[in-house]
Amino acid sequence: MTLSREHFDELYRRHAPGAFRRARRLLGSDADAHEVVHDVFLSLWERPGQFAANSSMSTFLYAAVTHACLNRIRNHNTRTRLSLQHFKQAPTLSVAPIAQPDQTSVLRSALEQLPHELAQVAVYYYFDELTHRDIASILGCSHRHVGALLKRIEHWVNAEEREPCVS
Amino acid sequence: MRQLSLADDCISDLVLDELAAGELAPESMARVQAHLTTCERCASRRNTFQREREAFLAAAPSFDAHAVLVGRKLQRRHWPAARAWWLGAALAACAVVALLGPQLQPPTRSKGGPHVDFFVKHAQRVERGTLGQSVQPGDLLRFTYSTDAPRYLALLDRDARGASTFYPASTQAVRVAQGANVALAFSVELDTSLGPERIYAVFCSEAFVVEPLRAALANTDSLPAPPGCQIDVITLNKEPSR
Repeated sequence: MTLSREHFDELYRRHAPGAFRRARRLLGSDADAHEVVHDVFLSLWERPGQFAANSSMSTFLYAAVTHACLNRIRNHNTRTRLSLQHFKQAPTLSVAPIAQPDQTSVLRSALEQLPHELAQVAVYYYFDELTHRDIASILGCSHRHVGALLKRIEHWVNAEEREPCVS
Repeated sequence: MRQLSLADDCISDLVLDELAAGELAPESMARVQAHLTTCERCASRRNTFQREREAFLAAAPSFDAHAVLVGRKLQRRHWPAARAWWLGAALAACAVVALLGPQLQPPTRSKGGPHVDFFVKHAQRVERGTLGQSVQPGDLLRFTYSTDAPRYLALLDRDARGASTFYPASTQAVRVAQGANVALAFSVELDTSLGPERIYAVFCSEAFVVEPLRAALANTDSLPAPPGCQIDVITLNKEPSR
């Protein structure tokens, strides 16, 4: 894929606001979200071939933003480790970002501990409230595989709950 | 474990984003539009997203504007080139030291505690910065830090236009590891304000929020070291472009 500056600027206008909304919701910080959006679009500009034209730019950016946010969450020096048992107790998320910082921070902490592949699916399912079909389109896999990954998340969480909490 | 606050037939965020981006196939778009006319909640979400979209683009209408918003004066877009010029200068400086010995290093400040150094790129020429360095608008600066213990670091700037934060882009100072001449991963492009300019490197043993220091610098034109902190100051003199 080649990317002219005009095309890139148009992609930015169409997609950067949504990317920022998701990053802000995942990270709970405007500053961090802006940095993620900047990094993702800079990466797209420098390596446009990473976008496979058989998916929509929206699905590509969902994956890219999720990946960047998960890395940031996991690498955050000041993160507070919370017991994964809270994951199960997390209330249903509202559409409004930042509105329930306690809920999202609990989920954010859980994401630090889930294996990366499962963490991605957890983001799509619990944060974005996407359908199996949406998640399958982002991951490039079948609905059935999405269901299997969600089962693995449940098993993983339940296994964690049986373990004593280690700080 | 529970997931969804959305009803099964409601529109996901992804589909709303695809709708806004004009990526939906005609049949999908018709289905989504029909749903939006009957579902108050999804219509409300769409309107919220639209308002947020407009607010975002009002603040950062282009990628370049967003780069400024993210890093203020940071020019990360030009980072590969900036890294190249800076590394060349750093290697050249190391070569000079190796050849001539440490006593013949380029003149720098006397330093005991944590401190910063800098390199200046003007046109295609790169040199190691010194106190009172003459610079011009458009010059690029790169910084290194040296500290004998992990500390929290922020760089603040005071010039004729006021005070700003060079580093970090976030509100909290960044914890840096012990090390000597460690490069900070950004470069600064100097703006068009002329005259004396001071850059304050604030090293603290504890985490701190940067904004109160920037505000103090803006209001009082000075920056005394907070408790538990040490400050290293770089002075520049920005002259008109020749």
